Order: sequence, then C-alpha cells, then structure tokens
Amino acid sequence: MDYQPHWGAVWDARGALLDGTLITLELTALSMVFGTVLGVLLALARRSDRPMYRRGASGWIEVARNTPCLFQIYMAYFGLGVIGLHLDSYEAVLGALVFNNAGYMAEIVRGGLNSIPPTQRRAALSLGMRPWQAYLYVILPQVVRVVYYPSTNQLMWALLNTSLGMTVGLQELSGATAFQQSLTFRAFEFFAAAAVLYYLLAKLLMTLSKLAGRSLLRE
Amino acid sequence: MRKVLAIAAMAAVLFVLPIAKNAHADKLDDIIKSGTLRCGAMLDFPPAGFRDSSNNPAGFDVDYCMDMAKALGVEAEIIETPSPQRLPALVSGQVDINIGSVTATLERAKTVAFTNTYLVYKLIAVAQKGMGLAKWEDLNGKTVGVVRGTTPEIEYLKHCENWSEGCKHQSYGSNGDQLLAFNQGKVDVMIEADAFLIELMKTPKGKNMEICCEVPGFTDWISIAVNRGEEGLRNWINLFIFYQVDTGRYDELYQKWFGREAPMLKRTDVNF
Repeated sequence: MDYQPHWGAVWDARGALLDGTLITLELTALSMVFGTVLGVLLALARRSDRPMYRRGASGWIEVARNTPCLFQIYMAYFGLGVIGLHLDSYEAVLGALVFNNAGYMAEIVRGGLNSIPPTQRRAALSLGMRPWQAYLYVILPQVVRVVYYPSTNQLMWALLNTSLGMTVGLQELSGATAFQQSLTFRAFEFFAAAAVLYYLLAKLLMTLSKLAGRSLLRE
Repeated sequence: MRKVLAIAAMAAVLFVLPIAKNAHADKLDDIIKSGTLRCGAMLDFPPAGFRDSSNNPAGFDVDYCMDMAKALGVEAEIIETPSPQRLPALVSGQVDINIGSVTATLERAKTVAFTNTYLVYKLIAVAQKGMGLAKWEDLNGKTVGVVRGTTPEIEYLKHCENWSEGCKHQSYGSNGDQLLAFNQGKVDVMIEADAFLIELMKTPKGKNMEICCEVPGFTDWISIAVNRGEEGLRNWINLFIFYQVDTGRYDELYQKWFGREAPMLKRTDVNF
C-alpha cells in the first residue's frame, strides 16, 4: 500500500486538538470528583438501616455497573429528551459519567468499608462519638488508605470513557479528532495523534495521583 | 545437477522476477481477477443509500455500484461505511472504491483520488415547522444540527463566523442521530443534501420539517473515491460515468430514486 502520511495536517489542527484535550481533562476531573462524593454516599446508603436507601443505592449501582457507558450517555442525551428534559451534550456526558463513576466508586468504597473491622465503630461509639463522627474521624481515614489506588484505576476509566461523548456531538479529544479527520480524510494520522495524546494524559494522571498518594497516605 | 539448478535459479531471478514486477497488477486487474467489486456506501442516507424493508442495501449509490460490477463482469458487494469511515475503509483496503455520496473537496483530494462527478446535490436547511425561516441569514442565532465533518458542517462554519450570534451548531456522528436530535427539538435547523431532506419530508420522520433555504453559493460535487495512484481504475470509472450518462441510465436511475429530472453533471464554463 503506497500511503504517504501527512503529519502537517495534524500539526495545523493542533489548536482544535488541544481544545478537545482540555474538555476531556475537565470532564474527567469533574466526573471523578462528583462521582466519588456520590459513590461514598451510595456506599453508606447501602449499609443504611432504612430499606428505601438500601434499595435505591443498590438499583443505581446495578444499572451503572451492568450497562455500557455508551448506553448511559445516549439515555442522558436522547432518552431524557423523549420526556422533554433537554441536556446539552456536555451536561449529558458529564451526567452520565458521574452516574457511571458513582456506581463503580460505591463498590470500591464498599470494599474499603468492609475491610474495617466493625469493632472500630463500636469502640468509637463507646468513646462517646456520634455515628457520623465515628465515620468521619475513625473509619473514613482508614478507608481512604484502602480505596485510594483502586480509585486511580477508575480515574483511567473515566478518562477513556469521555471519548464516548463524541457520539452525542461533544468536541472532546475524540470528537475533535473525528472532525479533523473528516475535513482532511487523514484518518490514520489524526487517530494516531489522538492515541498518543490519550496515552500521555493517562500517564500524566497516573503520575500525579501516585505523587498525591505518596504525600496523602504518608504514615 | 546442482549446477543446472543454480543456473535455473539465477535465470529465475534475472528474468522471471523483473517480468513479475512489470506485470504488477493494478486495482482494476485485482477486481476483475477476484470476481468481486467491493463498494463502500453510506446506508443511512436515503435515497442514495439505505436498507430496504427486507434489510438489503438499496438506493442510487447501490444501483450505481451494481451497474459498475455488471460492466466489469464481476459480482457487487456493498459494504456499509458510515460517513466518518468512508476513507479509512478505502485506505485500509476493506473496499475497492467508495460510492458513498462523497463530496470531492480539495482538502480530501490530498488523501484520496476522485473520479469525475457522478452526482450533484444542493445543500438545503430545514427548520422546525412554524419557525417561519425563509432565507439563509435567518439561521443567525438558531441552533443547527449537522453531521460531524460533512460538507453541510463545513459550509455552515464558513458563514456563521461572520454572523452577529456566531456559530451555534451541534455535530452528530450520523444522520440518524442528527434526525433524532432535530425531532426532539434539540436543534432548530438541520442542513443536509436536498435529495436526502426532500425524501425524508415524505415520511413521518420529516413531519416537523419546513424548508428554509438553500446554502448559498455552493454545489455539492459528488465523486467516487479511489485510492491515490490507482489511475487505471480511475480512468475506467470515468469512462463508465460517461457511458452511464450517454446511455440514459443516469437519467433513469436519478428519476427512479430522486423522482425528478437529473441535473447536469458539470459546469459549462470549465472542465473538472
């Protein structure tokens, strides 16, 4: 096959690709922050004494973990559109990713909570702490230690899942790449460039979270 | 005996290999020898390409491929290539040619080779019924749904940059998603090839549509894409396109799928 790559086309489009990269990073960060907060709440709700909380949380976790992320994004964009609730593509993708991340984070946090012996909570309560104080001061600090590294795995998934946003018209890195490739038809150059950018982003996030983990989890 | 073998081997290297190299088959030979013409076509773009009620590919582009295969004396195989996959499928050799309503742009021609024009479209904008848009400038400030990277998007972006409200477009991955978004009211306007939209407006999916206007100063020149360097194949297809028109088959197919008189395939003042 005599295919001559034109890397100049990629270089000329660097502005558009960088804009896309920023949206990808922003979505990854926001969806992880909100996803983690909701995930902790879901994990706690699942251990709650109230059946309504338990069932609600289980339902969320089941759907989030057992349906494809692409489907969740379509439902947020087109599915909610059917009932007249119109999210723009950014909101729909962010919403779906938060939903998805929360489900997975809830399971990670649940594992963390289960690793703390129940005697700790009882000991905290017997010292006169209220239940929320026992969670906040005694249990969660230990849970963080257990769940930190599994969460960085979820961070990578969040990063890669943002690429599904292109299906509902979002110009994140994949969307921007697809647009540029159909302007020029230089598919291989653009997708290769996008793959390199995703790889670098993943490495960057991994390194940052390792460094953060080192100072955060120091004894 | 060994000497004979050695001489035979040398003879093979000296004579047979160069001949084999000269006889390097081009794509046209490959197609004829393989007995199959593999055409990439969009099947979400009626009436040029779609799936009929029994899920078989149909439409103008599909018939065009069938005719070409018949003229080559081979079987036609239609391979679905949605808009963004038209080039990758061609360059990676999954299809021999692409008859997928590809606009021949200068930018794209740096990557693939285009034959002469085999079809022309005009681009039109349709709006939600009752919006009362009548001219192109009325699109200023309206949200516009297009398919990512297609000529409708490129043409819209050229104009909207100079508008007071700027560009308000949503780019979707396929015509299916674009249509869904329009029918849910996520966008006010959609821009596409006239033939596609007029066909849609005859169906229930197009019941909310109202024609606004033509995209000004633009003719969508549609070509068949082949890999660059396949000049033998390209020349043959150009001749085929000429005879499709000359024998009246082009008019017949156009009438069949677009339901009106076939447009001229070239400008009178310049060659393509």
